[in-house]
Amino acid sequence: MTKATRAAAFALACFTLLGGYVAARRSEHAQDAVPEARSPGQQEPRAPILAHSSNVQNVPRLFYRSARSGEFGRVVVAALDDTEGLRVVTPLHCERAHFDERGGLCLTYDRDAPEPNFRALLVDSEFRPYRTTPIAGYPSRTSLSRDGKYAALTVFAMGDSYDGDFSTRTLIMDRQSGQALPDLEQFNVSKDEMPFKRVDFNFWGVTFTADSQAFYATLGTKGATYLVKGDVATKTLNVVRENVECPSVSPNGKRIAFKRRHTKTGASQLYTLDTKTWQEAAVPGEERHIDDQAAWLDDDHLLYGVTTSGAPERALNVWLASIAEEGDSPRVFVAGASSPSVVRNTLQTMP
Amino acid sequence: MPANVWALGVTSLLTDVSSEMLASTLPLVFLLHLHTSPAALAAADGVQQGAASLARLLGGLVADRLRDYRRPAAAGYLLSAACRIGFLISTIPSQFVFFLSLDRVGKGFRTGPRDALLAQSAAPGEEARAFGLHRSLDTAGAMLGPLVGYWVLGLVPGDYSSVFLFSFGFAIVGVFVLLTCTSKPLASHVEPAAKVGDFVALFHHGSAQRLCLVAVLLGVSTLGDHVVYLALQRQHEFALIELPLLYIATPAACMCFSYPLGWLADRWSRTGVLASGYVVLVGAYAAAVAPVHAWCGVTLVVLLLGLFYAATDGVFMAIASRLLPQSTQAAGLSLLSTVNGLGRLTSALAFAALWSTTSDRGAMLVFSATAVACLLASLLVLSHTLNRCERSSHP
Repeated sequence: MTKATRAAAFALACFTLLGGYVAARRSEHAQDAVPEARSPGQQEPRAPILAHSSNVQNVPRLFYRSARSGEFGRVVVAALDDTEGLRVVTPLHCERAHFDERGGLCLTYDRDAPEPNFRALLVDSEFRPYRTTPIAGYPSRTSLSRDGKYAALTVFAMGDSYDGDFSTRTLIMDRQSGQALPDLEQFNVSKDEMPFKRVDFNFWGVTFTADSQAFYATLGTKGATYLVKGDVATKTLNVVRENVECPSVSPNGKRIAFKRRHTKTGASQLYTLDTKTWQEAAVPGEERHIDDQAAWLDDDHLLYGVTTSGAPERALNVWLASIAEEGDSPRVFVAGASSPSVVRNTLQTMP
Repeated sequence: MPANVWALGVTSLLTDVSSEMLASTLPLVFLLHLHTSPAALAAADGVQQGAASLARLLGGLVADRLRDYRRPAAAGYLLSAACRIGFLISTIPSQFVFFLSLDRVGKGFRTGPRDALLAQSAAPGEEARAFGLHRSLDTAGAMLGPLVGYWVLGLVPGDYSSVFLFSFGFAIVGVFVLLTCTSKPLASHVEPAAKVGDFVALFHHGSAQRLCLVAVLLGVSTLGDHVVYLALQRQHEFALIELPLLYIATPAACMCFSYPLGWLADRWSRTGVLASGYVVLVGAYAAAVAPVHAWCGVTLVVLLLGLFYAATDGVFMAIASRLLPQSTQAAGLSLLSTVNGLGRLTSALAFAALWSTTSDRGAMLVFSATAVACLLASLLVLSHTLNRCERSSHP
């Protein structure tokens, strides 16, 4: 066998193995249909999804984005008490989404098209989009205000600096009309009662307060991150605390879950703080690098996505942790999932 | 063309498919899988640059010391291949960045030995052509890489570990080709292993010193591709998403021009082709900010950048390989490659500062003027060096 033939044989062997692996993974994914056209005008009337499974719409439920074969990228609704037994796979494809009893916000893009066509979909309780807004880049975070007035989103967009760096863009939009408020970068920021303004401001991770009167977000500038509290009406933000990222307000409004980045390693850990006393506590038992804006299962438990290595259905999982020292240690709550949101009220239609 | 040149070309093709597949996918992994900015992937980090430069110098030194170019090159390729496995098991951004740095170290380490092997394997007087063929296959890989990456992701959406696995497959086949299809060039049977004295002599070697100066000057006149593309985008305001197409189109142009320009360099004048390449580069800068129709601007930039790379990279190595002392070929070539890289780094930083103070056109103008000045200085130095070589007898 000449040298070239030997090399060609080795190459053939390698690529056959790789091809076989991809074919195997592909047959697992065979049911991942291309997403249907999603602009409001083109939507065909179809049978209501949840009405058929009326059981799940009346119980406390979890919405999440599935990473499992056959339903990759689709939003799934599952009963909190029986996440594997009572679950409905919706036709909605999202990268990141948040839902409540009225519907939700879904950030998505066209994976198969030459242009990604990033957009934000406001959907009703039947997962039908009623407003589509183009967004500037890759989906990152979503949140909803409890009174149903606002939805917030963060995306990664290519920044304006010559080095092609990505910056975040955060928008709050009116949930009824889809009208977006000015970018958070247009808000007036103050720190220690003085105006605070820098060219490199980046905002991300909005969370609304329990009474929906205000919101918290993260401000990043010059390598530091701050917790800012904002007011939609006056378009102002006030720096409240340092090194607090991706805040999430608890159902009773008494606590905020957040992640804190270690300056040296760049790894983040989950913490909670008390909104009255500003006392902070690490989430007990969870010392891994967690990079997610956590959702609250209830006032004492957090749900968050953890990304490990390997195929998506194994790498992406939603974990449950108790914030009380004496609670159970963190465990996987739903496997092959991300972007969790918890809804306890029964279905309502948008007014 | 000698078998070694073909084999090295195929190895580079496969390795570039592997690397560019990763380069186009890693930002997506950061954005969509890790939900963080891919800024950490940019190679601007000083420590990374330093490590890569050191690796380059070390690779050349080791190759000359052992008088074996194949195995040090293979070691560099193997390290890069192993990094793909690292990506498979990485879960946090800093781990990905670590393996990417290691990949760059491997890449630096193999450059000197590989280029020396190319120079020695080529028939005398046909070095530029050999480099041209090699660069041609190399850029073909750079062109195919992102396409293979997108193809894999299209087959198994969201499964980035499949891309890493494919990347590993291509890289390991490349190493296999290098180890099995190349042989020691005849010249190296004659030369004894380099001694410390030889390396010291390299630093004092007149031609080597002048070549280093030229390498720095030429590096300073070279702006990174992405800067030119960004200037182009800002001029024409087309979607930032089209950027990946440019990263495929320019290697395609370079692939077409590399061998013909190498042939021309051997036949006509290596210095002539090299100089023309840098003139073309200035043309590319002008085209990026010219007030022409968008498609005209894009086509011009792609063609001119492709011509530039085809006319300069391999040709300069061919010139250098004739002027450097035979006993320290690999070390000399890796030294030149390193100082060229440092020159590019300086120009990137300078341009950044310039861009923030003036307009796009202003910055390009100043930069083009600098490039022309550097080119003229380089030509002066080169012709002086070549004249001196002409006078002394050489093979």
